[in-house]
Amino acid sequence: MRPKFETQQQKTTLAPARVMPEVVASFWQDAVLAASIPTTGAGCESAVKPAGQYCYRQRLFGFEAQLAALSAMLNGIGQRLLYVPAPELFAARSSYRPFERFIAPDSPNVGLMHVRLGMARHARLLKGARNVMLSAESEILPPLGLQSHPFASGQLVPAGFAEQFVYYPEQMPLKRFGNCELSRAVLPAGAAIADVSEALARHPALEPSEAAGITPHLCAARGLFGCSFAEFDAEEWHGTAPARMTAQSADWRRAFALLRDAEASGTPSHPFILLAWNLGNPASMLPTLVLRLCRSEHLHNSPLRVVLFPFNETWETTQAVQQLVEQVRNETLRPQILRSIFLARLSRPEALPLLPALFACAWIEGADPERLFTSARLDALGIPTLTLAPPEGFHLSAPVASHQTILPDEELRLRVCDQFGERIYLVPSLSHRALAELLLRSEDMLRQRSLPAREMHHAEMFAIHAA
Amino acid sequence: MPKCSQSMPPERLAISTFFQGEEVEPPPLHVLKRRICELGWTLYYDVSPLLEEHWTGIPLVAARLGEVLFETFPQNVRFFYENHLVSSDAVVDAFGRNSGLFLHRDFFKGDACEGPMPLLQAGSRAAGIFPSVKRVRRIFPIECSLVHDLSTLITPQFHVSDTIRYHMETICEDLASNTVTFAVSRATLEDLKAYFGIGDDRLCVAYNGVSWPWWFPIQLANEAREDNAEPYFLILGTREPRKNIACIFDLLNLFPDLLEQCRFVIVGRMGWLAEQQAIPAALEAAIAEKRLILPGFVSEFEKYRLLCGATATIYPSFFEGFGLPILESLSVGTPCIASFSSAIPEVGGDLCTYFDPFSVESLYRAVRKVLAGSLKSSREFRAGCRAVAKRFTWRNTARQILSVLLGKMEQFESFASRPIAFIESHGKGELVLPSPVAGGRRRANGAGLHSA
Repeated sequence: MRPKFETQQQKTTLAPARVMPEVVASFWQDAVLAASIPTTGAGCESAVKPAGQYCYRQRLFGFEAQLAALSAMLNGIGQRLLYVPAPELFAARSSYRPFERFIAPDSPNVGLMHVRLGMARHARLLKGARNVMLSAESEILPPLGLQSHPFASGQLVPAGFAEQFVYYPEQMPLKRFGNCELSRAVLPAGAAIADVSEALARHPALEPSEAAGITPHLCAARGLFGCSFAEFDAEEWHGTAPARMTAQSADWRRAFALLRDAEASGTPSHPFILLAWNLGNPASMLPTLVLRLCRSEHLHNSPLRVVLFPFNETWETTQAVQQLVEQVRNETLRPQILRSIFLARLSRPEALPLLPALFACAWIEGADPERLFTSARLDALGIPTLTLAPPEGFHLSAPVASHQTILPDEELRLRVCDQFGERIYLVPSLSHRALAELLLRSEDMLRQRSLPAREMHHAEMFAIHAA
Repeated sequence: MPKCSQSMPPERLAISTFFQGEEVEPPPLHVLKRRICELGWTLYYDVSPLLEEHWTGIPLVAARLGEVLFETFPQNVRFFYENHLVSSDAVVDAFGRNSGLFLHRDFFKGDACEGPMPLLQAGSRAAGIFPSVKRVRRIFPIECSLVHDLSTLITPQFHVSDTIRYHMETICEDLASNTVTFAVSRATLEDLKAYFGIGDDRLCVAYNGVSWPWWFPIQLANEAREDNAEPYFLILGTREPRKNIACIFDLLNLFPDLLEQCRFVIVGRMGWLAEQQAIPAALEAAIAEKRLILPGFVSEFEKYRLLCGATATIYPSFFEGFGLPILESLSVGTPCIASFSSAIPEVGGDLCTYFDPFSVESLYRAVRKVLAGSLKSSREFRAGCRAVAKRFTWRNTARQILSVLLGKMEQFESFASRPIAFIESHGKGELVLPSPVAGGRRRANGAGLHSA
């Protein structure tokens, strides 16, 4: 089966939100708001603290981005958000005392509202609070066979949840344990990108033509770190000083130098491709895809540099990045390829405006449950997206102004074994041939983005006449 | 039974009222015994947790509860493992040894196995008590199990995959097949309600207890005593990440002055995920100089001796279903510095000094506070400790369980002549809980009788 490309740009806008901003404000008023995400809280120095003090590992995608966006949205309406690393901690009356520090003196009696972010199957409750699940997930690929863990499906949340908030109406409705419906409310348009909008308002996004001026030093200073697969060091990746990782990565510096050379020679610059890797998706085909890319000649012959941005890292998936790098190192036939594929993290909002200049396009996995949220953020940054191998019937286009899709031409059988049990997923995937076409397609996108406006106009006119 | 004493609630935070459950005093044990015997019921007690060699945590709870039940109903209590009866003599012997080493050997390779359980006939009066995960279910007309915590669900990061799967694979079935489920604390009960939506009518609290052999105080009093013994803090618990021992290492690393003033003794066998609890290199000197001591697993008497002699115990756990070491500490009159997490304040009440388990500074302040005061010799504190020791006993645990079971037995008797009500089977995520009476009748008549 040949892969099909949907080249037509889709300009679908958001369906009208059922909850308007002023209504949203009413959700939060008269309550201490606390958010939690599926992290262990390691390195956290307090059971309750302002969300602004949360130390982001990365904040481009996933539950950490959700926290950043929610925090920014609530800041916008004058509400303060707290962060609780372990909501399960609070059970006895006296344990709630740390929240008292954050109650304004003029509000004598306030409630407690807990917003849980991240994957539904990792949902936790804050007892004594009104619990709301703010979900970024859409359809989830179901595994074959039965699942033993009560919350393995990812479509159930604990019975104590009062409500589900979603970013887009197309998102998957969750159920409470016991198969009870959970009432849903859609957040106002822009809720998924509140932090991105805030960052772009402070520092306008750089144009692709400005890519040559971006140095690894500037990136690191703004919180964008990267290193090649060849130079990856697990300790530094997991550690708290990624700046050292960037400083030591000669490949990362060389890739930026190539940008400047390309600019000087008039060839298309910014050859980086952003690859969003959801570690929280057990049915992800990306490790296989990356391995295939590295084993094939196509990436070696291409000017493109693929940069993986892993997100949704939990205690369970913390080794996934290292495992992939080791597998690629062991199985690639051309060691040089390891120098042109990168891992990166964006940990501060100041780095967001750099991305449009650096990345020609982004690849998003079609079966990624958080694809709508991820593509909306990329769209806000002006990075065109290419959705890879979406399963049939999955929503793809909801919030995105411009994206293309490459349909699957084969199926992967993935065996997963984690806390939710052992299961098998049949994941739509791309063959070697489809990957080659994907690279060509991405190069096309790169050329289109690099053409100055007048040349673009001439090219379009020429195409019309030729037709 | 006195009410659970807790610290004052936060004043300005209007949290839900789930804490306001009133505790009902169960009838005395002899009254319960007489009534259950009159009704002619036999209690079947699952000994699977007792097959462990070292009894700490769940095996210890299972042993102490089983011991009290057997003492109370020697004629009406039978022990079983899966579908087999276990010799009472072998179990009683294990109670005496405080270890399941020989019980395990004798059951699988000796004569402690008394053959398959008799098929319980229609209308048979048999209640199954499972002190932990049920290895078999839907055998008895009335079944109950103890849930010690939902940590494998709520804090899976502190467990290995096999343990998580062992607990999670059957939890829905266990809860669904129980006539009533006992939680060892109100916090755990609230977790069961919050995560699985189980109704109040199927949940009860049966607090754990504490007891020491009667000769321990005598033996301790007869030991030679050091007059100028150096003060020490005792940290008790299996070395696993949930117990947050790393917090103690951080404390000693950041505030080495504490090691000059007193010693720290960390007691407990090495558990799992040891790589997350590595001792920092900076503390190696303290270990060499015996300022920080890690004796590993100790005997019950050694534990008792260490508890009695400690300036205070520290319990920094991130999540607990009950917090037995806190109770053990208070029962011997030793102050406890504990994290304010989960069920811990429910057990420690006003007697513990609480701290934030994420904050080393908070722990340091608590340690300093205890060192500066003379809590251990305070009359009020000692009276409080006596009240705690009186409240949390294994006899009270048995009373709480038996009083609820008696109610279910009486219900069973009164509904015995009603028509059978069939219950639909259920799938994952759909916890259909049979009513105790209907479920009991159905199984008593053999319909749908099966074991897992």
